[in-house]
Amino acid sequence: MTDPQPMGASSICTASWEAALNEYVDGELPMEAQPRLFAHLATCAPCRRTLEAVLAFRRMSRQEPLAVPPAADDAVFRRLDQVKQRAERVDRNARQRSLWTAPTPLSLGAAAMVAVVLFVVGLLVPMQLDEADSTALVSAGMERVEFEPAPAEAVYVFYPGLTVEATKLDAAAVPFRAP
Amino acid sequence: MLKITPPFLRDGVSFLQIPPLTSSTMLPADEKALIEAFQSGDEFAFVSLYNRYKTQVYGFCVKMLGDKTLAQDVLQETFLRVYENRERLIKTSSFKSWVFTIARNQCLNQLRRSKRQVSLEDDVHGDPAPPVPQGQVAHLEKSEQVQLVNYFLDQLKDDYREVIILREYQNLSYAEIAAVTRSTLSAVKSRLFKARRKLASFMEPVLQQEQERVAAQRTP
Ligand SMILES: [Zn+2]
Repeated sequence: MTDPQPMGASSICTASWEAALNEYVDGELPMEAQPRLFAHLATCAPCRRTLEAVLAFRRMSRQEPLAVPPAADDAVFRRLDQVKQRAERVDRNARQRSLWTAPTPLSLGAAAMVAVVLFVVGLLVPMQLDEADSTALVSAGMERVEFEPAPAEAVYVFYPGLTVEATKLDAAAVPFRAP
Repeated sequence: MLKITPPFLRDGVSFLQIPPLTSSTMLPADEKALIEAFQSGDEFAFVSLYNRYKTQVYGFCVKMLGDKTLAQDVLQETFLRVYENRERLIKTSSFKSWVFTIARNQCLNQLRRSKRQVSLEDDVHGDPAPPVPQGQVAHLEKSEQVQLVNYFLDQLKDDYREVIILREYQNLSYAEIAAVTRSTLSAVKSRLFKARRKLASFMEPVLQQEQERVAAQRTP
């Protein structure tokens, strides 16, 4: 047999033999180290018993075929389907929300224009505040909007998106007038 | 290949008749593409991967939890997480380790929940006396053999049991076990060797008894 002392000691069993034994059963012991392990096993009863026990355990542990029951497969895919549907719903909601909250792209020119308008408004505001009749942020030069007082007897009928007005007197005769 | 037949045979069975485990961390040729397809949202790829790994993951869970129903729940949870977190997997080569890591975490959570985890200080818990089989080990019914090894497995503490299951049942390499259990290669070897020493100590009386029985039968 080959040299039975790969790790120093003669036939005294050391931890390194146990490691070699484990690596052998795991298929990790290099081929060239195997003859020396076998030689040690031939002279070491404890290592032999360990090896036999480990291999007996392995033989016995392979007696139990474990297959995933079809019902478990179904359960996995059912669950995944639920997750997917939920994710799709969340996605859809996010897309709808983004229509409302999406930032409007603003060009540099438009931004400059807004800045100029704000500047002009800023210049005019103090002047207007000095005037007694200063109810709106509109200058005299700008369009003045006059609101005609509504007739006292007028009634307003509100429909979604449309306001109609009619007088008490000829509510039936006067056609609806959009505001 | 140099083969040296060892001088010891038991009942005509040499340990060379049980091939040593070999494990490969190399991905099968088509698997890389499959994993990439899965990551980009291909559901057929996911189903293929599920079919490839489900038995191994299920086997791991059954052995870790000792309960098939719980194992099915954990299997479901594991693949759900695989599906949901597919973008987090960075290296396709570590897919297997990644799946087992998720399964292992789920199992440990389950064990914590079912309060099966006993003090980590103890090497073994419960009564280590094994149910000694009446017949010879070699002639035991399959179900009796399964019962015996499951009993022994159950005697191991969780971190010994998991390395034994990953190595002996699921055939993971030392490196893969290290990745799954978040430990170093040397820590994995150390735990695996200690776990085997423990298992051997459980098995030896059974084998001894069998040996004596065989000897008694041979004596006229
Ligand atoms: Zn030895």
